[in-house]
Amino acid sequence: MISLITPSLFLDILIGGLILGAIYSVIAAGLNLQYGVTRMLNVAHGDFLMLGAYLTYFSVTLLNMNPFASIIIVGPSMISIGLLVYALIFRRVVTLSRTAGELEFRSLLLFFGLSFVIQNLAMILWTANYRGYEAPTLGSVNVLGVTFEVNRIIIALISILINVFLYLFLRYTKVGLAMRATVDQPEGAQIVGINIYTIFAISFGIGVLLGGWSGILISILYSAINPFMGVPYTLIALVLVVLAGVGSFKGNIVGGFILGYLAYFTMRVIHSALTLVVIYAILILILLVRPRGLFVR
Amino acid sequence: MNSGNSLKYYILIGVFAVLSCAPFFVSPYYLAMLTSILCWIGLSVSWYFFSGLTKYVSLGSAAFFGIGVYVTAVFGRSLPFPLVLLLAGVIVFLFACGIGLVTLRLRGIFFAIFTYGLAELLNNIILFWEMKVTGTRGRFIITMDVYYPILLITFVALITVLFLMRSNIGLALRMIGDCEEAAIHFGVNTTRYKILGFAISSLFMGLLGAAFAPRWGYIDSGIAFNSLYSFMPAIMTLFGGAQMFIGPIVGAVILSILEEYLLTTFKDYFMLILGSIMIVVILTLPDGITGKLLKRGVKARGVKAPRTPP
Repeated sequence: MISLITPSLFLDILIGGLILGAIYSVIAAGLNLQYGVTRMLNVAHGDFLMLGAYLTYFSVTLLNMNPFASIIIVGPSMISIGLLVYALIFRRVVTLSRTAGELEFRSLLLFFGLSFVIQNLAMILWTANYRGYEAPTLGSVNVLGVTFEVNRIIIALISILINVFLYLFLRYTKVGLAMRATVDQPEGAQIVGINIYTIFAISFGIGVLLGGWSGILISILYSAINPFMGVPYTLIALVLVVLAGVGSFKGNIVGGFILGYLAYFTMRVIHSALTLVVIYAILILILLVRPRGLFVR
Repeated sequence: MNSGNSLKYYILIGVFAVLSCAPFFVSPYYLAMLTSILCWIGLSVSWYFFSGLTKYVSLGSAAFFGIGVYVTAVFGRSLPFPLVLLLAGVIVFLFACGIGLVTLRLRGIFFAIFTYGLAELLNNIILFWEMKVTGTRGRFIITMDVYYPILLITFVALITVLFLMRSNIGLALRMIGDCEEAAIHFGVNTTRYKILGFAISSLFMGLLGAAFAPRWGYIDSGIAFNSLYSFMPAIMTLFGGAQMFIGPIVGAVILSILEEYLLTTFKDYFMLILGSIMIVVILTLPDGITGKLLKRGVKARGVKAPRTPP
């Protein structure tokens, strides 16, 4: 069960944790953005990831696309799904709720309902069987006796790139500025003329888009696509939002690596069945010690 | 006001008396259905007592229900059943006090996530324990008819909640729900009441779990800590209306009959329909059925509707 830590295992954990951490930060970035801006906690985030993975699967098997290229199909479809869901369901609850607490609580239950709907619709449409595809492999590199597939390293690089783009978007565009303003001061943002309902819709769309993109990466990485595959990722994203602190972009990245290393270490050294237990233990610890998150002032 | 309240006790006792004769008149199928409905009523009213009053939304009902189930699973054969129930009650009560002590500082969404995680954490720990240490998956437990234990516990839960709602603790919990800061300023020891309220609410969930377990005969951690037991009480209360004591009862009766019907006729579509119901209810009935009827009734009498507390 517990194996001794050798230099090669150390290297394995060092790089494996890095890859996992990079993906985790992308998965959680969408959720953190959505919750930070709209105060609606999307517990169906992992199910949007699942939809992204299925879209990738169909792009690869039906259209013979390269899985990395499926981004051009997954991207527009996920944004449309996100905006549609927002317009049909969540716009109404925003106007219906009288207080911020009421909005948080109602939207939480709405998202749980949405999660049941998405998962079970996917099960009825595509059955509960696991599906996978052969991602074109680019060989593997050998570092000090530990082999890493090139695909995994590309996935980590893409994850980091997505984070960089997201950072630039939030930092240097007008929409990004409006989003950050809404996170800090929803009333103030309205006073200076920001239409926060438009901002809500945009951040909802981007959150779903990031969920779908992480679905591409996860499907390349594990090739086990199933209607219920999203649930553990929802949990990881939730823990990461709590760990990072709501609206903290830096915390999201640093926290992603912390969580990635812990999860990978547990998988490789202790026991893979305990990964979720460790993640929950972290969640409980953070909520008890610093419920505002590690990276929020 | 007082006579209206004692009327509720009489109605409850009357319904209890009628229901305790049910096994002599009702077929086993409908008796089993009645047992489920009663169990859901007990769970929803317990949920309402803490989460409905304080607006600290707990999604951890399954954790306490599941602990009760496991107490029966472990001690069911070696101890007499009333003692098993007592043991389950004590364990769940103490566990809930501990959880309340450390978590009730959390507000809003974080409390909901924490309690949701609690049930999943227990599920995963037991799964790992059974896989690694005992090398089993699930266990067989005593089987017996659970109609009377469930009826009794639900009845006691209803009477207790009805009584406590008018006592210091119920008023304190309601005040915390309306405005916690104001409650603190008025000198209410909010921490004490929150922990006590949470523990009492959890106690009944644990008792119901322990009493319901013999229905299955075989359980594993996935059955015991099924997240349905966390969601349904919340949804039933919202569906019925979280403003009044009768709300969770109405919601539990309607939704559990619907659940029974859906599970027997469209098993594969059950979760899909449940999810859609959740969405529709929250969007169209923000104050639940009883809230809607109350508003309509007041309007029909030509009185301006009172603003329901958010």
